[in-house]
Amino acid sequence: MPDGNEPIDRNELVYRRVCENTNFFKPGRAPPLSSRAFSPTTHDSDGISLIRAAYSNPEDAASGGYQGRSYYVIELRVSDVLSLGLTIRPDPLADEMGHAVIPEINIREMRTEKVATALNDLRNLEFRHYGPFPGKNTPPKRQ
Amino acid sequence: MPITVAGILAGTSFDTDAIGLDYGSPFERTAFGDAWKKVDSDLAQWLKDPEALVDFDAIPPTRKAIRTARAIVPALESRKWPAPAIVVPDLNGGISLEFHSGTLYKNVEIRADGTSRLLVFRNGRLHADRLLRLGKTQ
Repeated sequence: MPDGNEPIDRNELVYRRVCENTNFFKPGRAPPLSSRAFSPTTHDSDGISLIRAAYSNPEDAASGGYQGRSYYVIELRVSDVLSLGLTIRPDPLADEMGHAVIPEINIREMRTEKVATALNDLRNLEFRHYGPFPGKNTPPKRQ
Repeated sequence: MPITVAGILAGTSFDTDAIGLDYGSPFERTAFGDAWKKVDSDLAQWLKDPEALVDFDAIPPTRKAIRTARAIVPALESRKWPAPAIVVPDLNGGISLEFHSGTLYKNVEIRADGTSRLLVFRNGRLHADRLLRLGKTQ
């Protein structure tokens, strides 16, 4: 039985959850998607998060966000991401078996040419979008 | 070595023609100014509640970053840069101004501490990566 650790197939689809408030994605804008949609945060030491569509759907992927925020879900083809020279590594979590990461895009290398180029490349990939849908997790307290 | 906004904009690689905007007609001049006004107005709004701009686990733009962005805006506008297509937080306390024109993509990154950087991509390839510093026109 799949447990989320099996290698990711080139023909799979992956989701990237994007908080609506950020304006990283805005339908009708030219261009609609900001490269910042793929920016690592301080939590992304192992790479930015994706969710494997084989384990989820757009609404469920969005629900992994926080209450009080809504999320767009950007759908990418794995083969397209790999064509950029990036990798996608399974990283199942207790509450998100389809969780995966792009290890090359991490907070430590945020200011490098490699990551800057990768963010721009990802922005230019063909994608589909869904949502916005509400997050359902309890938000953490700000520090 | 850091160079000034004025200095970098004077460089032939970053001239306004490269953006591809002809703002010669009165209508275009008005639209040009209005777009920049909207950017500054949005940034002023950001100062009121930066936390509303990001998810709960991300770092909202610092007030220093927002103020720096508001200082850079008139410098770019006065040099006839078209307004950025996208102005967004960077999730790490900074702000990103994105300028798009065909195969040219410029990103002015303003970090949490107010330091700034200009990235220029041509045809998807990084063409320049420079530190920016607000200073007097050269």
